[in-house]
Amino acid sequence: MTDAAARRAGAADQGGMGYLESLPRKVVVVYIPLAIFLFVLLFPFYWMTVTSFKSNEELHAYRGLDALWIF
Amino acid sequence: MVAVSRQPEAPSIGLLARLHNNRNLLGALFMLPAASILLVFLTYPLGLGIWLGLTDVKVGRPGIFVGLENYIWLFRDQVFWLSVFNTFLYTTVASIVKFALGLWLALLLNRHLPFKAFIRAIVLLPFIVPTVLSALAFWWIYDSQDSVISWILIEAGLIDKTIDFLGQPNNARASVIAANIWRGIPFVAITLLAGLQTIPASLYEAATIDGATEWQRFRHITFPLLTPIIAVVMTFSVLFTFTDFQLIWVMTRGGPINAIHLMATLSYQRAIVGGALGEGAAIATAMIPFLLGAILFSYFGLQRRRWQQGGRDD
Repeated sequence: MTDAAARRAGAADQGGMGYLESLPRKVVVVYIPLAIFLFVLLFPFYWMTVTSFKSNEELHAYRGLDALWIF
Repeated sequence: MVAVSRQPEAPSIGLLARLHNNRNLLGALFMLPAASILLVFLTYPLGLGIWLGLTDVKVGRPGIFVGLENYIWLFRDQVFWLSVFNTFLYTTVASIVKFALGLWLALLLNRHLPFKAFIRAIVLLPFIVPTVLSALAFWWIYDSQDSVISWILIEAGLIDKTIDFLGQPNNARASVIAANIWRGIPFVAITLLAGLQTIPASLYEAATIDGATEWQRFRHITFPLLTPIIAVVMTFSVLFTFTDFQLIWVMTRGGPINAIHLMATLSYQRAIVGGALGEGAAIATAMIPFLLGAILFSYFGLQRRRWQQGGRDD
């Protein structure tokens, strides 16, 4: 058995019953909810960081959606 | 006969040596350090708090014993009852939502994911950061003029003027509960994740071979095996939420006209800001029965000991 094949076998072992799930199903059931969780949990930190780089005038300058990432 | 033959030896052993071999005395000696720490740092402040609640002590003036007068006064106090209501609402809603979302997040994190360790680490961030800092972050996010939430909703065309998050009592209640949930989810999720890791994969494999659906696997394998951890997590979650202080105090100081005070913040306001130590101590003491009730409920209601020890589960 080559190294690559061994690694593939190892990866399949780690997944357990993971091979039973198709990728589209996994995207809907796992990745999208997880992405929403991460966004909500981390957004306040992002917002604090962006705000900390703004001057006092820029704090109130909401024009378009630029203020989300421009500082 | 045996006892009689041993008797002459007894007087030759000295008092000190006999004490040395006395298990009860040694046990008491070894427990002394722990007991004294508990007495000095737990029992004394608790006792002092309860005693202060029975006096009319003010800052800078020693009080006299007034019996239950503070409690009678509080009983007629609308703000106190409002704070009791707020505390119960806050604890119930936040604990239930934290548990549901935390369990969901734990189930997601328990899967085989790319960057698993990294994701698990950053999910903990809201819990690691000091509450005062995240409360300040939320203060700015909930700002009545420059709230990022209002602004995004306006840009999306869903609302046409900014939301007054902390200025209206009901909005303020919902906002602080949301901030508390945000802060509490990682704790619940990571603790439940630790519990999920102890469930052997072979159980799920066997259940799948028997044709169990995903819901059945959750209902009959994951949930029963997770019950002990859930009991511990919910106990801590309820206690921390019930006694929460920092979030409310930093964000609204008890809210628009005392409307969203919790018992802890009201106690602090009356005792430290207002100087009425006795009354504040009475409010704090009034929390104890509720906390005891919560502990007893989760101990006897949620922790199913017989089942864990192999007995029948009723």
